[in-house]
Amino acid sequence: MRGESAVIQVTDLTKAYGPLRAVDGVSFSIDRGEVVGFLGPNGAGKTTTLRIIIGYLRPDAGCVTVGGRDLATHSVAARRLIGYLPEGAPLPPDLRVIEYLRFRARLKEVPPRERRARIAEALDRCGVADVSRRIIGQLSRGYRQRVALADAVLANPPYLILDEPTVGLDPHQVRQLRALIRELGRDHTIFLSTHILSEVELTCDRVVIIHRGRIVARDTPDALRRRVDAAARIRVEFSAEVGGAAHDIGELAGVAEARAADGGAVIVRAREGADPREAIFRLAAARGWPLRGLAREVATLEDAFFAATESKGGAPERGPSGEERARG
Amino acid sequence: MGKIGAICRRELASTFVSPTAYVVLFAFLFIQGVAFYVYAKLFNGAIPSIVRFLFQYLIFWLLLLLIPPILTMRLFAEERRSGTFEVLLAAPLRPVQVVLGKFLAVWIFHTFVWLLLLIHVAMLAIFGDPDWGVVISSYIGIAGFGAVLLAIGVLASAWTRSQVIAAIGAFGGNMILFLLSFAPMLYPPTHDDRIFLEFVSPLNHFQWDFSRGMVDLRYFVLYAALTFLLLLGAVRVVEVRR
Repeated sequence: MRGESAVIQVTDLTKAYGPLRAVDGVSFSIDRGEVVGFLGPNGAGKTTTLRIIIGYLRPDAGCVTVGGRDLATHSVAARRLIGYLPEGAPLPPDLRVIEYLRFRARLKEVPPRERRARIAEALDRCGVADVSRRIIGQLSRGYRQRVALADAVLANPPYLILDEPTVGLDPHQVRQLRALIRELGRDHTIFLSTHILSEVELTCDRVVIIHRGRIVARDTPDALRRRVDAAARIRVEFSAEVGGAAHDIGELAGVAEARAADGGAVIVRAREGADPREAIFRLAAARGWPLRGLAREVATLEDAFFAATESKGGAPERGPSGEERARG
Repeated sequence: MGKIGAICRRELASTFVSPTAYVVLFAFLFIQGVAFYVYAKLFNGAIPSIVRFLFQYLIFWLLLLLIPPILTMRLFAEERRSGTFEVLLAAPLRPVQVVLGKFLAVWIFHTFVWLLLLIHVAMLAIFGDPDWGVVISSYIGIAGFGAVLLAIGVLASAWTRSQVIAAIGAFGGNMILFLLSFAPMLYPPTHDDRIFLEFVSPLNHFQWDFSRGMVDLRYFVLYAALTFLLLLGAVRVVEVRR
């Protein structure tokens, strides 16, 4: 299906930090014009994979081609094609925005005659033209993120690699940045990493899911949403213990499974595509159960994808510790 | 070449907006100013002696060995710590361009700092006629031997993300190189090793050559070779340690 038209091709990538295999046999490809999300919990190996693709880290095994150029042998040529926004958007705090972009334009071989126009365009596109004379260290988090993005698009590279572009921004800034990414997606191939499911739905055509250094799924955001929804739970709460409630609810059409939880609550898993909340309410009303709450708990990515892997793997650990490990 | 220049310019811009640069400049001028006053008093205005002391006495060596680590410690360590190193290397350039650009920037600034000493020489020129040959040869020596000292600092800074460790490592390296000047004393006067050690002794270069207006090309071959090897090491470190 893919291969011929792939502009970024990652094959059997492996990278270990000491005994930890941060990336373990990762393969995927990205086609021209796609916006692909790279989804996974913190510490899954996203940043490590991206750092290999941009040529910063060398893989222990495996190969990456960018625009048909092998990264191992044509690193500089491959990097000419990539605009990169690293996680946390690190920038030199002592320069003015315009000075920084001038410096980056020289490094990125923007011809001297085009420099002024390209910098103006990048500033304008990323909405940072009004702070171009400000010193970077004095800018807010949101502005710095967009300055870093302006740097990524500066030389108008065909491919953009964005690592957690919306982390640390406030909701308003997140919305703005997603709109910007969608706009950039019209004429760039974009590969962006995130640990937020809704971000992928809002910005990506396709999603690659990584967990513990391995690819666990390649999907479209819609299919992903269906899978996650299928993992959704309904929590039925009663003010007093009701004997047999779990059993009776379990009999309802649209309910796949119901089990009693602590405090007299019942946790219900719905059949695919069904929402049995009304039916549960009517049943409770008819039986005179002291129904207090009926909430649909949105499933997380972990519920949909990683629960199985984690139970198989043994130790149920996730969260910030993994993030630190991946940073090395 | 353009990229080396771009990195060099960016480093110089950073240098001149950093407080470190101004602290170094202030300390340099203050210490040299006091030293100059003392020399002038001590030698009762004898210009040749004052010039010789300006370019070879204790204060000269103290500053020559102490300033390079302060200038170089920031170069890579700071970028590693803040994460901008990754951004820098994601651009289409090779590690050798990064190392040369940064080295060139500190070398230019270091030479600039020492040129401020010309203020005192100019004062002497008002009252008499200092030996400009000695001044020029001393500056050639500072530029050449300074390159070696700065290259040690570049290597140390490339190695670590801690500026303190980079500075201490660089100063340690500078001290070893300087203390080598005393190694000849361990041998009898005509011993072959002693002759070799005297030849590579930086103290001797300044004491017997540069401060007498002589420039021995062999010393500069030595400096160039050492600088080359140290920078080559820094390039390798940038390639491998990420």
